[in-house]
Amino acid sequence: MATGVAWRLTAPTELQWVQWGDEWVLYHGATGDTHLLEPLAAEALQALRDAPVTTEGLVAALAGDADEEGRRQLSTYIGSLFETLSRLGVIERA
Amino acid sequence: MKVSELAADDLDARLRGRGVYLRTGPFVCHVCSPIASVANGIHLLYANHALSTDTAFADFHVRLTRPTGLRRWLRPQVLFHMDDRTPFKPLPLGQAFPMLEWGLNWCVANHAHQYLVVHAAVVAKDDRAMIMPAPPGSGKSTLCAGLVARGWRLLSDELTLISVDDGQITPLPRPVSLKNDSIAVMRAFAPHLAMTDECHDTVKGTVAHMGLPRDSVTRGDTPAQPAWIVFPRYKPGSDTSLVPRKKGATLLEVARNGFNYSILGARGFNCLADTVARCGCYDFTYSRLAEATDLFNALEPTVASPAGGA
Repeated sequence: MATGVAWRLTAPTELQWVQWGDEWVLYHGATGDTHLLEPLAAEALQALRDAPVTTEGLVAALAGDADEEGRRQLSTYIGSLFETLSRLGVIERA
Repeated sequence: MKVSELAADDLDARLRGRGVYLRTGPFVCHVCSPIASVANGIHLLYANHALSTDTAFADFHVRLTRPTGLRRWLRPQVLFHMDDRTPFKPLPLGQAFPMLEWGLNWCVANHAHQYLVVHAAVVAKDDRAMIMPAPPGSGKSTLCAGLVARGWRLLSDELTLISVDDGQITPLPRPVSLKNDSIAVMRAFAPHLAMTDECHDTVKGTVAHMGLPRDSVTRGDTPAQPAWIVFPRYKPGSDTSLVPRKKGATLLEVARNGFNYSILGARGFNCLADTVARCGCYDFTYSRLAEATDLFNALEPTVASPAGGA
């Protein structure tokens, strides 16, 4: 996993969302793909709407009072999520 | 004029000549063919459909012809034409009427982009529509035919047309395509509805087409509001089971069944999200058709749950 890398949305104006409970559905107009996201993934992605974010910065923002193990798991999750979203063309390195 | 007002010989002669302008829901299909089984199929299953007298316009100009050459005598075949195109390889001549039906489906699915076109059966009760997307072999057409035989209005057995402008579902009432075991099931379940002879050894197995109750045709101009999305699955020996399913996963699954979802882009997404929001969403398993139709006849529409946005 790359550390210190900032990520941004590839095409912020091309994203549309709908939400039902814990399900988030994302439409990415730049690729025409539709994605089903879990709440944490949706929250992470929405954090990129205003400015580029690093994995470490997002972990710090989302971890709250999580212990070290919790932060480690969150970091792994966010890192993997960003890599996946990058492959899908939703985000890119800033 | 309705098709039934023409004698079989007259219809056959017209199809061999300048063709007929058949109204099917919002479309006018100009059909020409010298093949007797095409005329017989139209005469049997489109009896209540209107023939347009305006020959200046048709949405689709289709012809079913016999290839020339040796194929005229040795293993004769049929070709489907739309305008000057022949989008499919020829089929055995005995499959001419099914080829007309499959070809008309292709015409709509590939050209009617004023709708979000979903590969799904759709029926309506009191103008509330139940959309049934499912892969081949799931029992979708059997359930659809069973509901139509028990009072539901057929909007389409194959193509759900959702208006991108207002979300209403436009009927496309055409014969129901039945396959394999479902043919005998429906002959027993709905002996009052016309059905073609069986056509064997097609790419879909044995097929037959079933006609519609008059109401489904005469109300072909009346749209319906989406109320349910149901994913049917026929499972031999199973109990009848209707289980709610999540809307987000439903949206993705219906999108996968959309013929032109990617062509419509964000308009298609918004149309589908609105449709899912308005519908109760379910997985349905069944093995007894009568029990299945009884269940849906007692089903009340659910209250829409609008999607949140971000």
